[in-house]
Amino acid sequence: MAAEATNGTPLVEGRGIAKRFGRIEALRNVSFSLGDAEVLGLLGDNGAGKSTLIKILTGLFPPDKGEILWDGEPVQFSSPRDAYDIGVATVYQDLAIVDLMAIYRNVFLGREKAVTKGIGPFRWIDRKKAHADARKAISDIGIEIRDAEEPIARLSGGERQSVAIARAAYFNPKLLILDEPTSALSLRQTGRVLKSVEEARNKGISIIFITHNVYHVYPIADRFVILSHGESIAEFPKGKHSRDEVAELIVTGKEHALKLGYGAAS
Amino acid sequence: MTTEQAPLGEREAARPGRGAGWRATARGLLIGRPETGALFGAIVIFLFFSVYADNFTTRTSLAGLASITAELGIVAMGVTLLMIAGHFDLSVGSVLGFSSVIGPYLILNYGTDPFVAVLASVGVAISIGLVNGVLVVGTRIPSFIVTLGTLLIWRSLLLRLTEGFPVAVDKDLLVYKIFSYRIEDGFFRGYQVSFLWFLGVLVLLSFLLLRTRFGNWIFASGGNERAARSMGVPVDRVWIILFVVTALCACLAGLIQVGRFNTVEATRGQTLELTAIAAAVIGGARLNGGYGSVLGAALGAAMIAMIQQGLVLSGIASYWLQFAVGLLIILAVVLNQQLGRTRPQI
Repeated sequence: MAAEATNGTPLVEGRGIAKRFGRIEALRNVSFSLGDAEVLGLLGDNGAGKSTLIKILTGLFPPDKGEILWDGEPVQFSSPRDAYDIGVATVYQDLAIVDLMAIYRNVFLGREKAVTKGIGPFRWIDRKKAHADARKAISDIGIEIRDAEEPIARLSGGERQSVAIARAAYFNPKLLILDEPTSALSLRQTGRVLKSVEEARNKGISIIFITHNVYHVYPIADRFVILSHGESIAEFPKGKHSRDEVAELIVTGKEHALKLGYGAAS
Repeated sequence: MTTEQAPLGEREAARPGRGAGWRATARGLLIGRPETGALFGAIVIFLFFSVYADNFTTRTSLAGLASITAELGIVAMGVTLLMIAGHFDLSVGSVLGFSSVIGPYLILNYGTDPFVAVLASVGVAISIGLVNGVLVVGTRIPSFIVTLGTLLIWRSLLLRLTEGFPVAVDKDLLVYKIFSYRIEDGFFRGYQVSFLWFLGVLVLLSFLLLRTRFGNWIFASGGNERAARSMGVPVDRVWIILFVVTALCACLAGLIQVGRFNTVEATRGQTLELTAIAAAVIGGARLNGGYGSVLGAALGAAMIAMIQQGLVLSGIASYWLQFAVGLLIILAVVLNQQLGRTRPQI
């Protein structure tokens, strides 16, 4: 992993990605890159094309133009399964969590084989292992749960988000995509989720953190990409601009970015 | 997406084994489980009739109770799994009647081998379950409506086959005795063998629900279909399989009744669908899916059976049976909500 980083080959790179739906041009020209164990803040106002970009990255549909490079090689996802198999995990805004179900049942939902034992078709869930593994997955990202049997409905919004992140991180993805993980949370809860994201990064996972609120992602992002009207108008490492400048960039869009010297290449 | 949450203090109280000894452990084991209310209810009703109904606790009476509980409970447990997965099967009563008449009909009219005849009943039940399931999954019409339709269709076919008269089988046919005969000695002396089938189904379906991958899928499909799908759960397959399981449960209860009565008449199983759903709800199943218990449904069936028998033995007119069961349903739902304050309303 470190070798790749020093080679300068990003884990994932998008080049000139475009996508249209009928007459609507959702993405015109989007480029970005993300190294190993980096957090990329993907910022943009509503309608900037963030959701479309995620759906391309997770294999829901292919781009019309442009390409995705994975470890320097062009890849094409024909289904979410493809993306998952290569190491892309996604936490969607709705979290895909079942409130009435126990925490551990949610952690292994759809991937129960990781915690079953038995022979052939006669398999059952090893509850001890499932409890322990669920607890570990969640403590790995810095959250302690009291009881893996507790239904998710009893957790706070931030804890639920963390469980969803823990679930995605547990299966060792290389890239974790978080779609607006903090948009519905209080400040304190947001801090908790950011800590989880940091812990996931410390496990060596690269993260794309999608949000319209730079103040949420600024503390933990290593790099930023600003989307506006379907274009990536600026890409820069943290520290180059203050958060207020970034916030202004999101709102004012391309004109402002050009003034700052971005966009010449595209 | 629901966001019900409990105040923290309440949750702390419900956690098992944290310092406060056996009382906390007992509370932890009971509170927040779907079948807790049913367990208490069953005990209360049992004690009540033990005191107020003559002969309620005799072996004959208990064996009778076990027999009613078994037949209703087997159907109710299937219905419960389906309810947890988010669907209803209103056709169980008709399926019970129609699938169980197939055997006797074949034996009587075509001299079919009784063993083959029973297999034919089972085959018909599986096909009916598939039809219900595929219709629900394929058309996206609510299962309530689909199975209301199939309820009428299978009932009508049952009427056609029986032409209104009971279809009888030889009362000594061995193959039906597998499902129903009186045990002569041992621990279960005096009981119908159907009670053992009931216990078997109880253990099997509980295990399926609570300890297997498929069980996880059942909860998820009913609790949040979208989430289940996006986590890769084959929700449609889960539903179709459960419609088949439910039909098989109804068929088993039907075979038991053939063994017990030696006949199938046109009204066999009528209104069973409502009693089975009542047992499921009394047992803690949530009408909107995602929550419930096989054991709870079994206890719910036992409660209904006890009320039925208890009323008779206390000399109360049987008009009051439905009154009592109706009251029980409402009480059960209220009680279940109190016990499980932290979960969404039923």
